[in-house]
Amino acid sequence: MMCRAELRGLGGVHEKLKTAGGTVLAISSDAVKDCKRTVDKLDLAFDLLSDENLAAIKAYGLLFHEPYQDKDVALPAHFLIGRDGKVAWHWIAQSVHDRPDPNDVAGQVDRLLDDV
Amino acid sequence: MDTSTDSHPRKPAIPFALIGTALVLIGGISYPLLLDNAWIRSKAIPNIALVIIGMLLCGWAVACRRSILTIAGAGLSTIVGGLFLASVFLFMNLPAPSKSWRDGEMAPDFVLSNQNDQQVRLSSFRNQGPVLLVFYRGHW
Repeated sequence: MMCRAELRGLGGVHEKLKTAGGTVLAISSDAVKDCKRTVDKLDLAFDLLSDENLAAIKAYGLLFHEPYQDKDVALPAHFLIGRDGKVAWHWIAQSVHDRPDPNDVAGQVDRLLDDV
Repeated sequence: MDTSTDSHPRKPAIPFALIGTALVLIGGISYPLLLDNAWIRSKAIPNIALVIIGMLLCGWAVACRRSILTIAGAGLSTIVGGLFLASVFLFMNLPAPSKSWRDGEMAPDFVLSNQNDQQVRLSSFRNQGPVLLVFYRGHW
């Protein structure tokens, strides 16, 4: 429920990035068919990537075993990556309900786009 | 007429129980509705304050006067308030990431399938445009 509101809220940022040749990529440990269902349900304009093997989640140091569901999931996190492939800004959740302020995210994207 | 009123003045136990229960319910139930506010979502301070004040009022009401209303109020507020506080304090903390990040580091490349089972490679956006990676918890 909370993830859905978060994903839907990224539409504006995605538009900005798309205009600049970039994109939003959302990653979870969900299977492809769950990603498909979420994209359809929320009518998302960006891709949801399935990391069932946890390769990217581990590479970014975000693996977290969710005890209540007994499922390996990603810590909620944002990484803004520049055209040079370097991390320009990042944010990692410290608590379950922690989310970045959408205005902060948009501001960081604006700052990066202005720099280029 | 009612001499007991003089020797044991009636404290406003029932209104306190009702107000206390109402505060707990408002504090607990408004939290999921206010999740769009990032500060409330992360800190939950106004909700925690309301719930604690409400629970104290209910406890005080029961201590003053045991009646069905005060006990029911205290019971309800203990259940709702207890669940709320437990969810805020016990279940909310996440482990630290296993990698400590500094801005300016190279982002590890990956190839993953998207919702249409097409392969997406992060580095294909190199020199094209910036990418916002959003790790989220997924289906639950």
